[in-house]
This record gives sequence, structure tokens and C-alpha cells, in this order.
Amino acid sequence: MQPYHEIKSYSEQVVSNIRWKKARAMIATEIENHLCDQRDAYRKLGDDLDTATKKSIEQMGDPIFLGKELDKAHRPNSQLLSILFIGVLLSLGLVIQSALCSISNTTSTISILSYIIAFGLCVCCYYIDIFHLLHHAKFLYLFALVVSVFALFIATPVRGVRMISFSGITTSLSFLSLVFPIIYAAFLYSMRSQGLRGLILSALAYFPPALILLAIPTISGWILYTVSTLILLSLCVKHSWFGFIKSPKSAAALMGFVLAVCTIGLAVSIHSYSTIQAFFFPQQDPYNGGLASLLLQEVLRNSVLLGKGYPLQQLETIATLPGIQSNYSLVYLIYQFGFLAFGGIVLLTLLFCAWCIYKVYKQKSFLGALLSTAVFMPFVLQIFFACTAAVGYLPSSSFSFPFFSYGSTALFLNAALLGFMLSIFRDNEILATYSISTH
Amino acid sequence: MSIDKSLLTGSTTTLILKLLEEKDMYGYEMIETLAQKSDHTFDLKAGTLYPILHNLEKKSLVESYEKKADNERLRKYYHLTEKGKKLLVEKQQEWISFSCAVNKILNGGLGYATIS
Repeated sequence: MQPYHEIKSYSEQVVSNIRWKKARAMIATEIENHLCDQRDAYRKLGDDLDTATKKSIEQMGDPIFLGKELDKAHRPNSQLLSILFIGVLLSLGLVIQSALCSISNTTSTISILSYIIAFGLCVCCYYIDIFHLLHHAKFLYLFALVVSVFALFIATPVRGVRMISFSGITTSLSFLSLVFPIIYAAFLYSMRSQGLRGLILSALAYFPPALILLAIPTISGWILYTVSTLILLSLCVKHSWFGFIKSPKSAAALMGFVLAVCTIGLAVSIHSYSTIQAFFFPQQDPYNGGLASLLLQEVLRNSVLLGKGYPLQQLETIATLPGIQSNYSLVYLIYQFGFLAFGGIVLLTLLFCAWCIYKVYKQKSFLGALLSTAVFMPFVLQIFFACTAAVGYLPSSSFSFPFFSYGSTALFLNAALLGFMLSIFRDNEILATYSISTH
Repeated sequence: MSIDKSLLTGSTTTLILKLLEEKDMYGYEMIETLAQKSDHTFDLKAGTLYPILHNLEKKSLVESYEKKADNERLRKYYHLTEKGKKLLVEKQQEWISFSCAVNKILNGGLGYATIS
């Protein structure tokens, strides 16, 4: 047997005793490199290649014993309990949606099957191989852009927002904003140790998805994406992801990026002025833009702490409130069961968010923290948008409360992304070796 | 002088943590440094070292990162974390108390410092 093949064969024997398959490659490399170092040292002392290889393997010891010892240290962090919790959230969502369908007498595309598919997607994404995705990070980013631009061209505007229809299912392109942060995080991964060039390219990489979102147009989607990317980029700079700690050039590049984002923000605010004005001053335009806001205020005024609210005057039933199955599904919950029921659902979801924050904080690797933040931030922002809209503090957005509102796309995407986040938590340990040294 | 291996068993972790306190090292480098510093009293086997290192990493006492060597070989360096530093201080104090107690017994109940 050739000397290096002996080393390879030894490392294969070791790792064959490790049950967690994903950890095997990382450990095999470490053992092979150690054996090569040891072999080179023996050769320097005068041994020939064969003898040096044999002696280095002997020095390492019994491969089965070593493999079994390493197996004890390497176990995936199973997230099955979290998957079950997502299952509970999906079940609650299904109950609320069923109640909404029954009161509104509409034929809804939301069915038990949709929720089963969503749960299946969550489980599938939990078993996804993140490392394959990371190896093709730049390609993934470009592919997402090409697909999104293509979707923009074939989409047709429905009430001012571009939608695509496929096999009878109509989907708003605004949901791209849930996917873009994770694509952006993958791009950031590919820029590690690239110095100032990496920082500038990362800043520039923000713009194409942002412009696509503004072309859809989805202002809330743009906000969601922008806030997420700003946090991701700041985390990278803070953790010296690009390979430098602090420099005037990096500060200038970052400031330039923030200024560019603020300029777009200002332009967006001017563009959306009429919507904002209609929401905060509905009396000025009570029959058009302000109508939904006035009706919402009436529903909220007639809602009670616990139990069904008082009869409505301007609305025949709660079901006639515009957007009751999507953006205002939580309003139904408030009116039908009281503010406490709404608080309970929000609290349950916030508990899940708090647990996610804890897990993100506990990530051994910066890469794990970066990727999980990219999934987690859009999820939290969706909750923020949905809750503030439900209690009348902000206008309704493109996003509804995850799992509790009408719409298969949102349901599938959120379930898949959370499954992906759980896979990051599970492979936390292996992701640690994908991170770069900052020491 | 060769020493009983069982004496080393309990203190291997402390020795590894101490090595990493000085600088980040990869596995082979640790074995070599330990052998040199102890005049080959502690000739640690690689098969013993790696399970210990991987367990320390699991407990977040050390963290690892990969770095290419001059010969293009990818090496996994280990770095002592703050948690690891705290454990090292505790282990050192524990060792001092333990060795003082053993010395006391071996010297007929006298403290090490009192022997003339």
C-alpha cells in the first residue's frame, strides 16, 4: 500500500466509528494532517517514507478506540423539540384560519394540506446540507437575482403589486424579501478575508435585491430586507469578517453605504407619503385610503379584554373588514376573543423568538450566528409589522403574522426558512470550523 | 525517569489548557511542545490528545479555526476561550492544593516550605 493511502485508510477507519456523518470529513482532515506532520518529523530524523508513515500511525494508536472516543464528543444538536413547537404554532394557525373561513363564507385555498406541506417543508429544510449551499454562495446570489428579475418581467400588477400566477396559485413577489437576507448572508460568507474589497462588494451586493423589491413595489419588503442586511453587514464589520479590525477606509465605505441606503429610504418615504397620511389622518380621505383605517379603529374600539366585542355599526360583521384573512387576521382574533387572546398568541410567538435569540447568541461560530440572523430577522420583522398593523399603530404591510394568516406562499416560506434555521442550530459545531480566525 | 501514566491522566487537560494560554496551537504542535518542555516526561499520544481537544471544544473551553500552513497543509488551530482561561485558573489552584497535600504526607506531615 502507498504511504499516503495508509494514512487515508487509517483516517477512514477512525471516522467510520463516528455516527454523525457530517462531522467525519472535518475530523478526517485533521487526523490526516497530523499524521503527515508526524511522518515528516520522522523523515527528518532519517526514516524512509514507509517507516515514517508506519511509525506515525502507530503513534496515533488504535483507530477504533480513537473513533469511538471522538464519537462521544460529536453529536448533532438535535432540534426536534423546536420542530414540534413549530408544529404547534402551525396547528394554532390552522385553527384560526379555519375559524376565519367559516365566518367569512369564502372558499379558501388554505387547507389542512397546506399546513401539512408547510410542516413537511420545515422538516426537509431541517435536513438540508448547508455546506453545499455555502460552497456555491456567489452562484446562489446571482441565481436568485436572475430568477427574481425574470419573475419581475412575467409578473402582472394586481392592486399596484406585481404578482405571478402558476397552476392557479397567485403569489406576490413581495415574499422575495424573506429570501433575500439569507442569500445576502451567503454572499457575505463568500467575502470573508477579502479586506476592503470584500466590504465594498458586500455593500454593493445590497442594491440589486433592494431595487428589485422597490420595483415590485413592496415598501415593507424593502424595509425588512434593508434592516436585515444592515444588521448582517454591521455584524460582519464588528467581527472582522473581511479580515481587518478597524480602518478609516472601512469606516468611510460603511458610511457611504449607510448614506446611500438613507437616500433610498427618503425617496421611498416621499413616494409613500399619501399612504402614510391616509393611515394617520384617515378623516382627510374617509372614502378611499383612509377607509380601512377608520373601519379598523371601529373594530378595535368595540373589542374587549376577554370575549367577543360589542356589535359594530359601520361594518355588518367583522368578516367584512378589508384584509380580515390576511393583514388583519389578528384583528379578528382581538374582536372575537379579546385582547388577551391576541396577547397570548403574540406571547407564544415572542417566546419562540426569545429562544431563537438565545440560540443565535449561543452559536459557537460567527457564520452560524450570521446565517441564523438572516432567517430570524425577517421572521421577527414580520411579527412586528403584523402586530403594529393589528393594533392600529402602522399601516398594513405586505406581510401578515407568520403561520396565522391566509396565504400559502408566506406559510411555506416561513416554515422552510425556520427549518433551515434549525439546521444551522443543529450543525452549529461544524459551522464553527467554517469561520475564520480573528485572533 | 519514566513515570506512571495514571499520574498524567488527571492533569492532561490542565497541561493542554496551559499550552493554549501561551498561544494558539494545532494538535501536532501541542504534542511536540509538551514533550520538549517536559524533557519528554509527557509524551502524549495523538490518539489521547484529539478526543480531549474535541471535548474541550464541545464545552466551549477552546475554539478552533483553520489556517493554511506554508506547505499549503490546512491546520486546525485551537484557541483558549475566556471560559477555558477561568477553568485553567481553577485547575492550577486545585493542582497546587493537591501537590501541597501530597508533599505534606510524603514528608511526614510537614509543609513543603518547612523542609530544610
